[in-house]
Amino acid sequence: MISRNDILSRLKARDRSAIELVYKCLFPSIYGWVSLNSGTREDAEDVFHDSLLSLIIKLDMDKVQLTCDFSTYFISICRNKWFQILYKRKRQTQISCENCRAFSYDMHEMAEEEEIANNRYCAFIEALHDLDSRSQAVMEASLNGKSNEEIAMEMGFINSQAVADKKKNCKKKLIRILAGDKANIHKVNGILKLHRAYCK
Amino acid sequence: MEYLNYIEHIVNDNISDEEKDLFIYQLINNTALRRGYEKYVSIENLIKDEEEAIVSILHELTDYTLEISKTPDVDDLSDDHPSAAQIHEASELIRSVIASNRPAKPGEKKGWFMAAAVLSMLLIILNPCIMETLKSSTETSNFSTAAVMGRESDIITN
Repeated sequence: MISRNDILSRLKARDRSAIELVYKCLFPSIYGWVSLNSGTREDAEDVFHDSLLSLIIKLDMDKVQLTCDFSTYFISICRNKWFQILYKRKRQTQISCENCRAFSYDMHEMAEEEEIANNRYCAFIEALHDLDSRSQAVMEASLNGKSNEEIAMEMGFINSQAVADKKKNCKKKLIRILAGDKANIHKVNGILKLHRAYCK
Repeated sequence: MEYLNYIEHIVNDNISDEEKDLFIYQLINNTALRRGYEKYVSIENLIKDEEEAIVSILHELTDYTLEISKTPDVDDLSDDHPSAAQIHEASELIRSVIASNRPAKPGEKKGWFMAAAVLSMLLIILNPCIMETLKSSTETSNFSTAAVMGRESDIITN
């Protein structure tokens, strides 16, 4: 068990023994999970490195507020990191396939397209953050592969059609956010409330 | 974005044919509406593509659920950091810890075993030859010693 405050202050001070402690305690489970999800040892090492580095950077900027055990927190960062790496790889494959189809092998163009794909992902995630908590929960469940029926059961919607309507409204909000029209989101929320009242 | 409400109405609501025709007519003649519509369609496609990509990755992952509230943890914060040198230093430190704790690759161990095995095999194969050489050299030296001894005994006799 790693003590929460102690380890954070030691990591912030770039204490080598603290990094070694984190590595020895948590790397085996990170490696186990990454290899379970089609990764190699090198991948797991990259995930560990990137996650710890981003944690140290956040510590430098005093942006870390732990609400759970350090191990749980760090492993969750690593898992998100591996998800992001897999996402990037998938996009890279898609881009290279598209380029192959178009008989274009310009590496510079490919790098640019990769950056655009990355920016699109970041924009999408940021837009999801700007949604209200209920819309966020519906989108989260939908992205995690849950059906409308399951979401209706779990979140107390009347039926699956209500979930479908909610998703449609979430997408409207996302479009408004991405179009830079955040000020009008309340209009969509208002329409949604009216719709709910009408359904009742 | 201009005409967003109008575009949203056309795209999402049930509209009459007249309304549709009017929208198409305006799309041809109104540049701002056309641009707005193109932007709307591209954003719609972006959302669709990102959703599809995320869902397919999550489908392949075991023991993982995406939590939107936790996704900022994976953001690349290096741009916000005041000192790039400090980041580099921390990165090097983490890399060195990983390298020092990395177990020897199975291939490397096998290499040593292989070398040891080859050496012992060589010794076994070469052993009779070495023994032979040693034996013959011993015999030669014995013979020459005996010869020398013989001459000496002759001298002594004479």
